[in-house]
Amino acid sequence: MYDIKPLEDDWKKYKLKKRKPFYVLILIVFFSSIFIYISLLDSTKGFKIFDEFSKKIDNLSKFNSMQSTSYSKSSILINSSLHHLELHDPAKTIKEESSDSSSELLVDIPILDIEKDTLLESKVSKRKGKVHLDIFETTSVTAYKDVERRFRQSGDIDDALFLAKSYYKKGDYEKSRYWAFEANKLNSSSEESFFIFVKSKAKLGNINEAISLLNTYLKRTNSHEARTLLNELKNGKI
Amino acid sequence: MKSRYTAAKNVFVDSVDIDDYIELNSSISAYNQLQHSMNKPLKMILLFGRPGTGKSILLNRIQEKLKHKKEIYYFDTPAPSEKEFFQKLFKLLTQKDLPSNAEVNFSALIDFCKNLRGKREIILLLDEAQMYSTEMMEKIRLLSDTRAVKFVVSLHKTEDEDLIAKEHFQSRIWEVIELKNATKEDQAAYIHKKLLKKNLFEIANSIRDKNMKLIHKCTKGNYRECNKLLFTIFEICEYYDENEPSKIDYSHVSQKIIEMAALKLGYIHV
Repeated sequence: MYDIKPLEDDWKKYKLKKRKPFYVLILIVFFSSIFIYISLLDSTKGFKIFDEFSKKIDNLSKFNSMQSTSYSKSSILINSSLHHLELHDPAKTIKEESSDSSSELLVDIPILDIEKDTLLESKVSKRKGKVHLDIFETTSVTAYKDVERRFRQSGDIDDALFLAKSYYKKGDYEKSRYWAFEANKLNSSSEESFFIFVKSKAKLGNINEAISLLNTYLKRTNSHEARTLLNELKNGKI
Repeated sequence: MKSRYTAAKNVFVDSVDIDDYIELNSSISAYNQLQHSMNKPLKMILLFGRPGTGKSILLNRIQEKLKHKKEIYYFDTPAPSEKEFFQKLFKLLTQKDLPSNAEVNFSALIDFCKNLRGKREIILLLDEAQMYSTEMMEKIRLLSDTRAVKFVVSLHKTEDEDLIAKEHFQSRIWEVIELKNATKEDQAAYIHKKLLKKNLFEIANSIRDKNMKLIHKCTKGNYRECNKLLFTIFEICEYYDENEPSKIDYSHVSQKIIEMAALKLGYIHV
């Protein structure tokens, strides 16, 4: 046999041809993977763009809401009541503990600004990475301090709400009002934080302000719970 | 020094050597069927099958086995002319040589055969019968009608010839025996037995089931094609053994070598 070399070459070609469908399959899988990866990458990029866009919208709406507060009768009512409260608020020390200046934020308590609320909520939730926190009932003072410190770091609404509820339950209405306010800053559509805020105010003796706030709130939302709370306030049940 | 594969290669040189006959389940069955048919009062028997299915070796085998019991003659290839065929036949029947310038009178031959009825039973095995002319086949039929001479006609079965063969023999043949290509198991047994017959145990064991599958796929179970492929496989092995021993695994025949042989013989293509 003298033609072994050409035969070996032919065999190599034959094997290549035989494996061709396999190679094609590998290539298809490879390119499909790349395509899927790029698609996923694009969609993540899309989310980022959307995030930036929502931030811009948020700033714009914040600006608009600040403008609108000057024309909104209901907002003036709330703001004036809050301003009034701030002037006579003995718990200023608590406010000072906050790293953020709440005086500015107090002006635009977003309870009634529903359009802004949703944007602000998304902004907050995206800006601050959520840290998983275990919240539980406690009577320890250091535990409250720990949760407060944790809140300063994470800005987690659940922490603020926990503190508001806990302090309200304990009867520390000044602190509960403060933490309800903090929670509501993070999510102004949260009825729970708003109600604790109103109830705390009522407990602190500012019943008229609480009623006024609830009335304003009711005009915009017609919430059944708000109406019940209003009746309770009017009947002196709180 | 002679390669170990040289002997293996020579095992598969295609021949109709009775010593190379391998008893397989299918061949035993065909043999028994043919023998049984020959014992019947039939005038003509058609042995039918594609080239390389073992018709010739079966005729050889049966002639070898029955030659001491019956008056049986094997015509491996058709005579070049009608004249020569009848001269040959005359010699067989009369046990006499015909003068070279003389011609056989066919009518006289028929009469002679009629006289033989009941006295002698002559069996003629005609291989490659597709090469006989229609006229010749008619004369053979007339001879068989005398019932003194029985013909076993072996015929190639090809796509084109299939219909012609059936048509031609439809009214004349009493029994048809068809030989088919070997199954994978039969072919594997055929290869092993062939090698073992020549004491090539190691080489026989080096062909594994996977190899047999590929060989069967390439040859479709045809014995002649199988011989050709195995011859080429061992030829390649022989080359490697003598020239590039690093490329050969002595413990088993590689698929690569089988594929190379198949490429060389055109069973597979680049």
